[in-house]
Amino acid sequence: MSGIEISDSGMWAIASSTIAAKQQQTANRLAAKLAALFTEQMLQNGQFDTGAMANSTYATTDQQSGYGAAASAARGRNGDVDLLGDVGPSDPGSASAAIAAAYAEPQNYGTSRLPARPFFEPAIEVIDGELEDALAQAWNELVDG
Amino acid sequence: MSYEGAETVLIDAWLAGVFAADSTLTGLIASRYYTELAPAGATYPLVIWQHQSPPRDILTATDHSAAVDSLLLIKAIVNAPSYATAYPIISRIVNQLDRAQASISGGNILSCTREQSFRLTEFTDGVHYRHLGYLFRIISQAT
Repeated sequence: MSGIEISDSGMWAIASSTIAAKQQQTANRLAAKLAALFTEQMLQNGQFDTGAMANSTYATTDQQSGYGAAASAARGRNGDVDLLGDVGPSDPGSASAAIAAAYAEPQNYGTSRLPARPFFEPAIEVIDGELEDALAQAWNELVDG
Repeated sequence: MSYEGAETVLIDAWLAGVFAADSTLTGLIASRYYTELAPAGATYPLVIWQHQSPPRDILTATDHSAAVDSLLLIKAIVNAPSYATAYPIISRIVNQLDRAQASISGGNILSCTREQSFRLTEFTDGVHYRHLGYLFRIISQAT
């Protein structure tokens, strides 16, 4: 089965399995970077007390979830840390980034007593800005073989 | 030329002006709207707005920064175990802000659009709080 794309520069026939693999590869790469950006932003914000939250960020692919390793690392920092459940693995063609520490949400958005110290949206804004380039690069790699 | 520090203050002034001018909102929260954090002992319900991501310059070829792109969380906070009293507040705020434009002293709000809903449950020192709001994308320009 082939996917056919007609563009200004010609007509291309590329196996859809190849497209799916490239799509997955791109999604995996962006999700891994997003998880790393969560941690980086937390460190920039000074949100590093025990290190449990910063160590609880993880990415998932369609094949596996990084939750186990992240949960283990977070508990290694603070054995009493309250962790949320695993979000992955992701649907085919997609990937995710997540934070296991339950207190990440009030840290990111603030509470009635605690000002917000956002790390979630700043990281997403960075990835969002790279998405178009990443998709273009993936497409070019497919076309160029 | 535009610069980020000016735009954040411009947005603060615009939001405070919108909230103060709307009788429906003042009926709901009086003047209890704050940036980042309410003062200790504040009465609920109240409204908080905060930058959820660092403002970004929108660059053009002829100007260092033509405008600034900001992502703000605007939320109503109530000290109750339900969102019922927060809903009319945030609903009115959306009514006033979504797709709004304005020229105010010091610059322009080029656009304000609602992007994503937000809700958070909090239980602190034996008190239930509910946070209900939206992320807003605001493009502003100091003049």
